[in-house]
Amino acid sequence: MTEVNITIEDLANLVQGQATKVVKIAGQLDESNVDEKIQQVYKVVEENPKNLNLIFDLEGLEYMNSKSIGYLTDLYGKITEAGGKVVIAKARPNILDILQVVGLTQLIQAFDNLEAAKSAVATTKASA
Amino acid sequence: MFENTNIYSLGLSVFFAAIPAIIWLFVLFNKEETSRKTVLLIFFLGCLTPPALLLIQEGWQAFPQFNLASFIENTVHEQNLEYILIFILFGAMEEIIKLYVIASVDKHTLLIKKIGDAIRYSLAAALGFAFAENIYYLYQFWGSIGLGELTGMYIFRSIFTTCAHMIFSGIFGYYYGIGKFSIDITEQSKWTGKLDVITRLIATMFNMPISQAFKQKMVLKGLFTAVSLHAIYNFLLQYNYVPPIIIFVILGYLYLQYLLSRKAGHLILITDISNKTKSTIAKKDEDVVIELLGMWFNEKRYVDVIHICERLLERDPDNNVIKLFKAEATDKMDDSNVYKKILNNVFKSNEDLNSDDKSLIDKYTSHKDHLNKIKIFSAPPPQPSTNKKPVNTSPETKKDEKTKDSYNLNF
Repeated sequence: MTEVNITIEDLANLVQGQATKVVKIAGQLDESNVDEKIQQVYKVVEENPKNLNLIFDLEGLEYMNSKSIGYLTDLYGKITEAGGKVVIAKARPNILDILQVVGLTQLIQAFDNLEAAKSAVATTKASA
Repeated sequence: MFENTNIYSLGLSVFFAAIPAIIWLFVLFNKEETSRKTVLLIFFLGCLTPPALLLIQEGWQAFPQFNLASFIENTVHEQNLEYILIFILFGAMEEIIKLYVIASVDKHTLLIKKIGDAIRYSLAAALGFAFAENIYYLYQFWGSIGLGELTGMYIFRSIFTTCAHMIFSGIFGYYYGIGKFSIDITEQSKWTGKLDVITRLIATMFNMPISQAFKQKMVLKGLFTAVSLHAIYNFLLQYNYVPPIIIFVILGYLYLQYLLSRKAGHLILITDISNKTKSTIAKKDEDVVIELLGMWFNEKRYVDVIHICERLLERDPDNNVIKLFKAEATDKMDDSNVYKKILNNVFKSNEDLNSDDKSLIDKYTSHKDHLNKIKIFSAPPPQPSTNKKPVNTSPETKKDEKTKDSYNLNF
């Protein structure tokens, strides 16, 4: 089983009255671990059924398999339909390349750094 | 005098048999000069096949122990069954010898690089066969039957028998053409997990690689279909069922057309490895995307599959597996559109039917604006609009793209 670590950090004050979390994924998301590990993120979605903002910090993500792309698409659908927002930060070029080919970057904004991602979430929410 | 009459009737037989053959040859020619020469070469090789079959039958006279036709006649006593078996035997002999022409030329020259090539050259071989057979029949019946009867036979053979031969071989050529892409198709089936039992069985029985087994299966499938249709045609001919023959030929033609249109995407495949453009996406990353293609293809998310294929082909333009995914997704969507049209007429509702070409990404991009509009009027804050341009993934767009790729064989 390959190693992957998912840590979830709470950014309570970024957008007032809304839950904002940074999901940090490091390692390799593959067939051996994706089903189990992704449940952490789904748990957060369940706990915050409305207006959840997720920032995926993918700096440490070396590899993601097709299933994890499927999960990401599904999470995007669930969160945005419930009024939330999903952005990606610090993804490596190969991961970004895959997401671009798959078409996910047309849906999910990707940023070079975490601050830009945070301000994107804060700005759009504030202006809403 | 007698000999002169023979030469005269042979000359006239050749002349009249040549008329439909020449017309069909011009239909088969395309603009490329080299292709014309190849079509002609295969046509002439096809002309040699009926004499070769006659030689085999002569051989049976000399060695009656190998005479399969008399074996059937002596063993089977029920007349219809006997006819059927005889027609299967002769149908198989004719189809195998036409197959042999195509396969041997292809083997020596690596002639066939597209499915369209396989079909066109099979049609040429069949035309050669029908031409030589028509000469034989015209010559045999010249003077022995009335002019009206001879003319009727000539017209019938020129149109229906010639067409029938071409249809049988065309169908075989289609499967032979698919077999040429066995490596790509088996590679694709690795991602979709859809590898049929027969291919696995052939691979195990003959201890050959899966792709080779798939190729053999396709050749056998083409041969089996062609022989079956040929046997049915001969059977109808035996009993002079003219209207069913006409319907049969028309249906055969429509089936060949269906095969061509259904696999339109396949026809852009080219196997010339030397001209392959190098992929600009890493193999490992590309595999992830192809794996996703397999996953979404199985989930019938054809719109997404087509879009991913298009983006991936920009990075890796000569990847046949991606082209296959795109072609098959397009075919499936077209099929589902046909079913939808039929079902719509029956049930007057298309709500459930749209699930056939459902799309994850398309769903969210096209729903973004819609969601925003709804949320403006509801309690939660509105969904921020995105400045990203939504992708147009409507089935109509795809249909246009398919037309762009469609096959332009002069048929």
